[in-house]
Parts: sequence; C-alpha cells; structure tokens
Amino acid sequence: MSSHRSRRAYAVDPRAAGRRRVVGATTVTAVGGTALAVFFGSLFAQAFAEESAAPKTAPAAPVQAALTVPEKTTDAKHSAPKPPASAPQPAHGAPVGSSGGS
Amino acid sequence: MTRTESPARTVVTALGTTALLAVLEPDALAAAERLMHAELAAIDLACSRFRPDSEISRLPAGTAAPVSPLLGEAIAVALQAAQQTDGMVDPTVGHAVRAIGYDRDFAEIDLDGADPLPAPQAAPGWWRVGWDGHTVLLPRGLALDLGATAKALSADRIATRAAAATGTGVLVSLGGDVRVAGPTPEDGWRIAVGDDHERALADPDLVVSIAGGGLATSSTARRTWRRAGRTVHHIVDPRTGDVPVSRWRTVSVAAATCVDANTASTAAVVLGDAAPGWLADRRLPARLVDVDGAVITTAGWPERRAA
Repeated sequence: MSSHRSRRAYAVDPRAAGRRRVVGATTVTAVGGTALAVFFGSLFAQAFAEESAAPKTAPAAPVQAALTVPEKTTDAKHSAPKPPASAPQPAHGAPVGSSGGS
Repeated sequence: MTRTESPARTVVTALGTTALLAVLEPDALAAAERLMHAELAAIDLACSRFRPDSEISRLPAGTAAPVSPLLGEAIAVALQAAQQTDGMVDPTVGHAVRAIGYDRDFAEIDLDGADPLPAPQAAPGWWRVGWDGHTVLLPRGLALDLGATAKALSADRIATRAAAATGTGVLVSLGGDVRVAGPTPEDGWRIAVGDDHERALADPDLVVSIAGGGLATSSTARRTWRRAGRTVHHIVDPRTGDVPVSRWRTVSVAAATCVDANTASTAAVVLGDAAPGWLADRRLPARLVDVDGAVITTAGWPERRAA
C-alpha cells in the first residue's frame, strides 16, 4: 500500500504540467516583449534626439513644370533678334543720346 | 523724312537710372514727356521686383493668375528673348539675382559686403513658366526677373507711342537702352557709345548715328559691388546662376528694336568667346570691348573713332 501511495504522491498530473508550461511560456514571452520594447524604444528615442539636435536645412522649394509649356522649337518670325534696317554710321558732332552701361 | 532742327531734350531719373527724351520738334517735348512719365510709372508698377506693391511681386506661386496687358507684354517679351538666345537671357533668374545681392534698388545695395555669396544655383528655366497670353503660372520656387528686357521694352513703347502721338522724331534712352522712332534728323540720331552711358555723353569712346531701331549696351563695368572681396555685377548666367566671367567688358548692339538690341548685347556678355560669331550669324552690328580694352566689331558696325 505504502509503495502505491508513494508512487501516487510523486506522480505528475498531466494537466498540472500543461498549466505550468503555459504559464512559463507566457512569462518568457512577456519578459522578452518588454525587453524588446525597451530596446526599440531607446533606439527611437536616440534617433529622435539626434534628429532634434542636428542643424536644420530648409528643403529646397520645389519647382514644378508649368501647365502650359511654350514651344521650344522656334519659327522664323521669332528665331532671333532682328537686325536694323541699316547699320550704324560713323558720326561727328555732339551726341543727342548715349548708350553704355547703366 | 529727315529734319535739320536741333532736337529738344529732357533728362529725368527713373527706374534707378537716367531717362533721356529728345524730340525733333521742340513744341512736342511737353506731350512726349507726359507720355514718358506715364509709361515709366506704369512699367515700374507692373514689373519692379523691388516694390512689394508691384504686380509682379504679388503674383501667386503655383496657380495661374491673370495679368495686366503691360505685365503680359513684358513677360511675353522676356520669354521670347529667352527663346531667341537659347536661354542665355532668361527671366527665371530671380532667385539667382537676389542671391548675389541684387535684392533692392542699386542705390541701396551695400557695395562692399563682408558676407560671402551662397553657392549659386542655375535658373529653373524659362520653359517652366506657363503663359497663355492672358494668365501666367509660376511654379513654386521660381521667381521672375524682367530686368534684362523690361527697360528696353519701355524705351520701345515710349519712343514709338510718342512719335505716333506727336508726329515728330523721338529718341528715348533709358540707362543707355536707346530707341528712336518717327522722322529722323538729317544725319541720323547721333549716339555716344561707351562703358558708362552717363560718362559717354561727355567723353564717348565713339559716336555713331542710327536712322531707326534700337541700340543697347550691356556692360560689366557698371552696376558692380563686392561680396567677401569678390566683385560681382548685375548680369547672371542662367546656366550657373552666377555672374559670368566674361571676356567682354562692354557689348553694344544695334537692332530693329531696343528689346532686340538689349537681348543680343546681354546674351553676348554671357556667351563670351562665342559672341562675335553669334552676333555675325544674326547680322547684328555690334561692338565688343574685351576686358583689356581691345575692340571687335561685327556686321558693319563702324570702327572709326569720333573726331
């Protein structure tokens, strides 16, 4: 009888063992999740701190294409500045006007 | 039709420079002068980037906006100049011109600043400007500067309108951008040429006469200032956004209009070594003075010095 009681006393209940495995796995998951959260949290915090401390440069203003684009091909009418009807001639005497840098 | 009377003249300050008006009939001077003042006020209000209340300063970015006929004409002329010069004269240099320090009337610029210039940036490009003849669309980040053509356009408008209104011959010179219209003096309109349009009247490098059209001079010898020891001037190369290190100190060009003459003279400064060939190919009479004072002429420009 005694040996039977002893075997019963040390026997493992399958349901109890299952509960312990579940509890253990949950504990490991919770601890690992917390550690990961702390790790990535510190990474984000560090990145944010570096970004905040970095000197800011204004982004270049975007230059978009126009809705209507002028024709780049030129026709004869507008292809070049037009020459005068006659070239300037040498002149003497007091000038009426002047042309130079302004 | 030619006339022999001595022209009557008046000189006023306008557009940050001098405006000279001459008419063959002295009785027509008052009417022509009124027309000139009205035109100068209108072009300044439409095109000045130094006035916060100007029409061009108030153009919105990123959305199409209708413009006045005068600003519309100025924009169309500027885009045409860019097209004619393959972008050597480009109105989208607004930010580049400001970056080199030309952000106010020249008289108010610090002529010897200690701060270095920021790194230059090429102009966005004239083809990005949306223009349908009535409305303009400026992309965000693009600023117009009509300085290369608006003054010449104004000279064209004043001369042709004053000649039509008065029936007499008219010469207009706005800071050295010259246009003549109407009847001509017997020997043509005598015009002094030099690095500086004001000094040239008393001490010209050369005096020429023209019977019509325009004559304009672009020079790197005037309107200069310094930043951190570097001398800069008002002409910007749209390809770099920086002032060109040009072979030419001064380029004078005669053309059918003052806008055409000024477009070509400005392009020549930017083009550098290629300028004489570019001008000759277009049959534009021109006088190019290099930085050492040597002179090259094209397409029939007279070489003889004034007596």
